[in-house]
Amino acid sequence: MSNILTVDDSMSVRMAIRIALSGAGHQVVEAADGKEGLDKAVSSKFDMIITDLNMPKMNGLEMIREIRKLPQQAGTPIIFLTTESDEGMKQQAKAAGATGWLVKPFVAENLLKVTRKVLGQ
Amino acid sequence: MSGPDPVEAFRLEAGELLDATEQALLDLSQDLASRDLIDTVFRGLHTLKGSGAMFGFDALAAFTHHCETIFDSVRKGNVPASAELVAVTLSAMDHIRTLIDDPDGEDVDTASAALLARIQALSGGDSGTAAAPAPGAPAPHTDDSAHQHGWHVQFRLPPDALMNGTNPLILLDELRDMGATNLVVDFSHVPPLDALDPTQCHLGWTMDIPSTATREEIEDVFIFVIDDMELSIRATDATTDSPVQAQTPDTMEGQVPNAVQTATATQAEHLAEHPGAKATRPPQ
Repeated sequence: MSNILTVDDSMSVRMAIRIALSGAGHQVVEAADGKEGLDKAVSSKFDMIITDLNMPKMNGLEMIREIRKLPQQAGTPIIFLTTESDEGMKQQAKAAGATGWLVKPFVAENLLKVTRKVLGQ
Repeated sequence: MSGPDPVEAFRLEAGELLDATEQALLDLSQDLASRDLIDTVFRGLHTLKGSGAMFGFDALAAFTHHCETIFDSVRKGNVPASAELVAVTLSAMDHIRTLIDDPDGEDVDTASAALLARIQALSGGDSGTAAAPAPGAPAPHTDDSAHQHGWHVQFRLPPDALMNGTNPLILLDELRDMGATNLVVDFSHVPPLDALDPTQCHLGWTMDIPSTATREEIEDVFIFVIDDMELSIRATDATTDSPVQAQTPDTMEGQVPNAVQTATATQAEHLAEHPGAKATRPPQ
């Protein structure tokens, strides 16, 4: 079981992620924006972080950059949610320190596939 | 916290998003040059499309895709923002509400088609229907052979791969599951200990993979780093067996003593799990 932080301002997306990951035996912590996500990354160690990019208060890119400065999250896989048309955003997120991406819309199977890929489980 | 089901949460969020997008459209009608408002409308449509598709509102996603596409063209300056476009998009907002509340209702398809015809008439031929390539789409192939019976793979990850969350051991496991053999570690880029940055990935790998794996499957292992790494996948054929030359003087080929492989795996694991730790050169 892994401890996974999911950061998205959409409650429905957070719920969909939580249901899928919980069903696979993972523990899921939720945050509703980049600021809350960063606060949780400061206070807890996660095995993986899944984040949207377009969020209020602090966007996903800024949050990823800040998380990469945290020693306790060194090497933590960060997956961002994107769309196939967001090629430029994908490059920005990778430059910010993201590990990989998941294309929206996604189904639970794709989410779990990416999770297994970065966690090796 | 169990909460409501995600579909109901989506309906609630979609309603709020429609309200905000409609307001942006109304504001845009008073200021057609506003980049912020155009972006707001685009993002609203974009989110409605993506979330709708996630929660099974396929008709909503398909219809909204066209609305999003024309606003993407507006953002790029290919289609002008006009009062007519704002008006038809406001009508589309009403229709999207119907697609959320009663997606299987009578005349829904007819209404979608009529609105899409109006939207496409405004696109001026810049419908933007060409989709971007899928993330990680494989590069064109140039050296595949009908006679190949396997692959010789060489790769070196980006230096910051470990810090950015890529664990090489997991990639190696994936390759091993494809039947990788003759795994060789290339130490040639490992600097002297006093100059070594243990957070960087200094190792490279070579291996042979049987033809039961396709090139696409091998590339897919590296999907998140393939644009930033060194990767060579060469077909081996029956006549030459292995055409690959050593990439560097320190690259070892053929069978590797178990002690070296074990030590290398231990070092890689140590680096992957403790990127802040000091690494040592394994015995050779």
